[in-house]
Amino acid sequence: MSNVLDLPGNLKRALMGDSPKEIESAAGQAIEMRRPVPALGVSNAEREISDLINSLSKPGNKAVGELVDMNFRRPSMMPDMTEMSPLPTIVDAPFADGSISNPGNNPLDAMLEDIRAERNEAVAAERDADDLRERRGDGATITSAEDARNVQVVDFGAETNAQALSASDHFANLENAWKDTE
Amino acid sequence: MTSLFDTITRKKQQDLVLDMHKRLIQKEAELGGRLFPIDNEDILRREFFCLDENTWVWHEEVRDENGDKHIYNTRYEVGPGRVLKSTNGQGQQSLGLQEAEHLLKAVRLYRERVLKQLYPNHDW
Repeated sequence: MSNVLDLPGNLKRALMGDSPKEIESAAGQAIEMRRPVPALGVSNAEREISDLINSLSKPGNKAVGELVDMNFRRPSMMPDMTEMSPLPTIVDAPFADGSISNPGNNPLDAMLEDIRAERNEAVAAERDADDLRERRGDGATITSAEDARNVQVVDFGAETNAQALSASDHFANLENAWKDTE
Repeated sequence: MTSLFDTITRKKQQDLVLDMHKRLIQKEAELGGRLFPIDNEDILRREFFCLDENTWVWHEEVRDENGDKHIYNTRYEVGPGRVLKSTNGQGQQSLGLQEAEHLLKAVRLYRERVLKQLYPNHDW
């Protein structure tokens, strides 16, 4: 969004914010982009793993953890069993009984709500930063939480400091929200 | 002629779509991890998700007896009649019967409890 941040205040904030329609549209596109992948992944996995289980279940068939044969992977990709340590895998984890714990009523709606809140917060933070710049009159560019935090060390009086803290909090919250998604 | 405003608006919308796409995968991984309850305080995090049409990922973060954190990323690559497993980029290993059964169950639960919840308007 750095290109957006270089624009004049009102235009910048208009572009940073996302209308509900924009978010809905983007969500629709993202879902259409993503949904076929796990759909295909599930069907492929069901078919191939079922075949594998049938094969492994036959008496005298392959041993568990057998080395991969040469035809399936290039020789350079052959596993070296000496390097394999007993790492935990999915086989060690018990399944949850019943439904997923705390799934939320509608995970997709909750996700979209998070995005709306973050975007609104970003716009509010940018507005605060613009106000602060206007009060300072120095045209300083504040484009990050770090910039906003640094502004606090300058004493421009109680009212301006309150603005700085507000902007700083907005950026910090936004930063934390993004970290949570990583 | 395309204006700067149109260009930026389109770029912003593309960024938003990509952001949501990334979040969808993260949400799948999170919900997939909840198929397996964290019943031990030394297990810090679990994720399970479909990376692409042939790859499934099992991610686990655990703490050992010394309090050190370990992260294990296991990829299951589904091929014709077999599944290869590699953990943290180490050598690939074919899947044994027990793990294959467990993975198949996880995949089916993923469809029932993750995909149907996250994308309710589609036929799974």
